[in-house]
Amino acid sequence: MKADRWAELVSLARESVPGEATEMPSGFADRVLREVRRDPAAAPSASKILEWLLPRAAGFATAAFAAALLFAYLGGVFDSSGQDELTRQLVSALSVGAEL
Amino acid sequence: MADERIDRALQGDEDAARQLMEAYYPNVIRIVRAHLPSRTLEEDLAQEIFVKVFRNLGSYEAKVPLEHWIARIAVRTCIDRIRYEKRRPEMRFGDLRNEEHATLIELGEPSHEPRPDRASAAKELVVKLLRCLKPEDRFVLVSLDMEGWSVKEVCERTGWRESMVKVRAFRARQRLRRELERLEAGR
Repeated sequence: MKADRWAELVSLARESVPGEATEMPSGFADRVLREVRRDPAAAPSASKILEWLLPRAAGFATAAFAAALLFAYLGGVFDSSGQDELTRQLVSALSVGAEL
Repeated sequence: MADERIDRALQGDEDAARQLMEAYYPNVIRIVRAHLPSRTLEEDLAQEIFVKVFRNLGSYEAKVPLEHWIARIAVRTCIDRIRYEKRRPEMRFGDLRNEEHATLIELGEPSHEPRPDRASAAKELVVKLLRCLKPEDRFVLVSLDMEGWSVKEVCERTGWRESMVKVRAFRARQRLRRELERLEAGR
C-alpha cells in the first residue's frame, strides 16, 4: 500500500512547531481599549460613506454641472470682449436645461 | 456559566475588560499563530480580534462558553485575512527550496527514516501546499493536522457542523495528496 505522504509530511512538520510564549504583551490591553473607546460611528466605514453618497450622486452631479454653466455664463457677461464660442454654447445649453 | 466580568466590562469597567483579555489572550494568540497569513503581524491581528470582541460583547448570550464565542471571532477574522492572500492554484517543483526538494524526495523513498533536522523544511513545504486550498479548508486542516484539535474542538470554535468539518478535511487532504504526487512526478 502506498504511504500517505501528506500524513508523513505533517508528522515531520509538527516537530518544528515551537512552544512560544502566550503572555499578553505590555501595552496590548491599553491599545485595544483605546481602539474600542473610539466611536465607530464617528469614523464611518467606506461602505457607510458610499451608502450615504450614492443616492445623492445624481444631485451632486447636477449641481456641479449647473455651477459650471453659471460660471461660464458669468464669465461671458463680464468679459468685455464678448462671449467666445465655448461660452455661447454653454449659455445655450443652460437655456435648454432651464427650459427642461 | 455567567461571568460577572462581562457585565462589568459592558458597564465600562476597564479593569474587567483587562481581566478578560488577560484570561483569553493565550487562546486567541494560539489561533492567530496557527493560522496567521504571511506578512500579517500577529499582535495586530490579536488586537483586531479583541476590539471586535468588546464591540460585540453586548450581543453575547451565553449560549456557548465565552471561550468558544471569542474563538469564533478569532477564527472568522483569521479566515477573512487568509482570503486576502493570493491563493496559488498549484505549486511547481521549481518553487521549492533545496531543503524542501530534499524533504520531498526523502519522503518518496520506500524505506526512508524521518529526519528531525528536516522538520523546519517540512513545515515550510506544508505552508506552501496549504496555499492551494480554500481559506475554510485550510483552516480545518491546520487545526486538525497541525494543531492537533479534535473535530469536536473545531466545531466548537467555528460553529460549523461536524459533517461539514469532516468533509472539508477529507477534501483538503485528498487535494494535498494529489498535489504532492504531482510535485513528485514533475521533478
